[in-house]
Amino acid sequence: MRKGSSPAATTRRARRPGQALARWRRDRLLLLLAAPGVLVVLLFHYLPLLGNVIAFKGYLPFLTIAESPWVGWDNFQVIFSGDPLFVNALTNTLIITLIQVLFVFPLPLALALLLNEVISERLKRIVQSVLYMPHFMSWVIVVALFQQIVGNAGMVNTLLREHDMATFSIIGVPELFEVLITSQVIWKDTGWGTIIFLAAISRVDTSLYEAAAMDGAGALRRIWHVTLPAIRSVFVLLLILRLGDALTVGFEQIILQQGAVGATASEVLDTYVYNHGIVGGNWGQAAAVGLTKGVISVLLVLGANKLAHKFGERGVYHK
Amino acid sequence: MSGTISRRRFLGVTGAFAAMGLLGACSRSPGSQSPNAGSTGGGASAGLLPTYRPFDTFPPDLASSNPDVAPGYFTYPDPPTAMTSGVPASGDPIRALTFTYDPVAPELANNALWQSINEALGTELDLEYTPAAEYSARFATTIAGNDLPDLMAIKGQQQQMPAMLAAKFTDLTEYLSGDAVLDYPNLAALPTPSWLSTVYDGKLWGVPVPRSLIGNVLYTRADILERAGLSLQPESLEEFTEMAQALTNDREGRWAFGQTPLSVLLETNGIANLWSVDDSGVFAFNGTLPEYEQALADSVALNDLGVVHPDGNAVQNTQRNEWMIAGTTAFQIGLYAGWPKFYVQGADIEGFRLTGMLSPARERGGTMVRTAGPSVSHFSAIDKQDDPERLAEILRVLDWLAAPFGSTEYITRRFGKEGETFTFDGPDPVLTSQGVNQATLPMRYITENSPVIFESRNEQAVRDQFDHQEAGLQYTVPNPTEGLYSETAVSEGASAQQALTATELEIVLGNRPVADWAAAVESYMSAVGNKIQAEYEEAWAQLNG
Repeated sequence: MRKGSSPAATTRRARRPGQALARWRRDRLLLLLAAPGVLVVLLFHYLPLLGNVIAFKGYLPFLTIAESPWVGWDNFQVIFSGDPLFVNALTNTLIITLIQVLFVFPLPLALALLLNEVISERLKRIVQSVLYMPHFMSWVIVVALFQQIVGNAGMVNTLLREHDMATFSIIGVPELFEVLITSQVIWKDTGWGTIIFLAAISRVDTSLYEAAAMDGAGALRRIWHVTLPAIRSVFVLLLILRLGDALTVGFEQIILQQGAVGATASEVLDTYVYNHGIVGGNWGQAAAVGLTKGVISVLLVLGANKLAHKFGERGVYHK
Repeated sequence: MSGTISRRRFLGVTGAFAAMGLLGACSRSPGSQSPNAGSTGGGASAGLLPTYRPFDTFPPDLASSNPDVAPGYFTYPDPPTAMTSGVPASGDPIRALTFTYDPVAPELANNALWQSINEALGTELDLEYTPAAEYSARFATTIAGNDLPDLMAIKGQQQQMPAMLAAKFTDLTEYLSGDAVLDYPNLAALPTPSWLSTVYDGKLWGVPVPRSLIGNVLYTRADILERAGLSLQPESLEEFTEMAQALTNDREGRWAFGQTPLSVLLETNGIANLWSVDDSGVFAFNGTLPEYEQALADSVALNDLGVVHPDGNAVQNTQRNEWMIAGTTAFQIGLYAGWPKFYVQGADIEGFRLTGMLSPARERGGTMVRTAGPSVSHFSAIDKQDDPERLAEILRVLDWLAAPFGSTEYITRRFGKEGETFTFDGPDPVLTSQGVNQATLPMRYITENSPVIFESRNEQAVRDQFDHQEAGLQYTVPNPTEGLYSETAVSEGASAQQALTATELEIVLGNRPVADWAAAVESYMSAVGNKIQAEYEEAWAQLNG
């Protein structure tokens, strides 16, 4: 079989060098323009990946990576041995991931649909600007804002206390930790997330809306039968990308609020890596957990992509 | 100096718990588990440490019979005297690497203070530094890159510490041990406990940056307590608790504490330091003691009374500082080194007065204890030097940098050039606005004189700090692991300690029952604690013959 196909392959290969050279020459300006970007990606994204080798080493900062001894799969022990702290971090991560993919991810789409129904361009602009703003605040600010407003000694509770009314606690209650951080994520990033959906919606052929209206479709039906099908591929694409970093549930946001509820409620994989790897000095173990997380993320992306193909979507890339 | 607190934990979220020292297992020296086992394991006794010869050149306004208490000065000694003669160095620049808690100072060309230090040293002191939080990364890369400066700050304990020091730095034993240090009289005036931090494998590896043993302070807004008619020093836990309740009024937004005062309650229950040792050298991890569990229960009880700011455990430590200054809380817990900064922050407050409160004994008349603070900030080591002349030159520069309070060298080092970066207000040197910027140059984090108490034109502040040291240091229980090195504590210990601290936090927050503590300690002991204990005991036996 291989023999049969080889003559064709040979000819193709033989034609290639000349062709490639010509293509290089033709595109040299574009290639030159791309070079700095490629260099950055190689230098700061691919090269550091080699550092993952410390997952298999007993790394000590004062020795170089090369001088540190090999330890095989020892660092991965913590993952497979059922260490309760690791299991706790993993469980929390999965719960938060599930909440965020199921409930937080579709919100920008809903908001984009609402915004799309606003007729006045001026009003739409103003609303959009207000909605985008929280995205540019750092987590320290967002966490402080939430504390100042709904904290136990925050604005709302102080007011209630002054009027002898019952106060409430959200911050510092382990059971509500997921609710708290999810609301923060929604407040901060939902507006920002609408941008891509709005762009996709704006590309929907307006004659389709007209035709639907002519057929007697109301606003909801137009959304259901025109808008949503038109932006389905964008939705799927974003969902796949989201799954890629599904296990990254917000390091900074969580570590800033860990002191209020303790580790059982708030430890996630990223904070576990920090607390046990960096603070605890287990560099190799931290790298092992990080590496495993990366591998799972790649598998999730590949799996989701394959699933998308099954449903006839393009996904992130073609087969 | 606010960074002194935040360095304990990168993001400072749980500063209150970090401050009690569970995170940073403090332990130093002759390595029982050292890989180069042939070294002088047993030679670390009295003869090794440098001879201590303090100055009596500048009599203080407040002096104590307790040598641990820092002398207090109301004014700068007049006239200041030179403590060294000639210039210590000539020729080749000296490179130094350290860290800072302050903003970056202007570079040499625009820094008159730095220039005048170089002039006095007779060479260029080429100082590089990073923010304290980033120093361990810089340290690791510098060591790995093998491009060592002449002087390098060694902050905290690293894994395989004895091996690393032996591989990269100069053994200073023959130059500083015993009476040899008298060639460098300013170094000979550094307190003895601070030298212990430089001892590994029975050798001296550097020159310390000494600190007062007073450690953590329960900062107290004395003006608020006095207005409420409360005593500045409660005599029992009961009185302490009543006081906290009297200071709390949540309708008006006032609470006694900015965080659960676990470190205070530990001392109240007789627990000082993380480890204790008996006369025969048997170590015990204090977490295993019933008193420790009692302190946790007391913490939970105090929380339940509502005397702790309801967001206290959720905020950063700087926020708690602000609460105390604003009067939202009456207390704050922090390192002693942070004391002077509160006078700057509280400058606009009518009647502002800050004192330190001692942790009362649980029952009236009971024994009071106090956890010892670290005797150093860190130490500076000298890289491998072949030329003894060069080595002596570097040591002379260190000697110059350690010149005592009252000397002209001290003024040059901290204040720079008269008329340009500082002026005299009476006898006191005072930085000009230009000088304030330039003085953030962290020369004092290479080495410096032993601590003194001095606040220009604020006699009350000097008295309050002195009184706190005088009253508190007599109860200080020395940290038994100081001067001992346990490889397990430095390597595997950190992670296990972290897990234990996390459990402790959850207990204090009330998320887990106090009864969970025993199991957590037991798993700590079986994971690393027993091993650490054995290593400390072995090291202790070597040190104490």
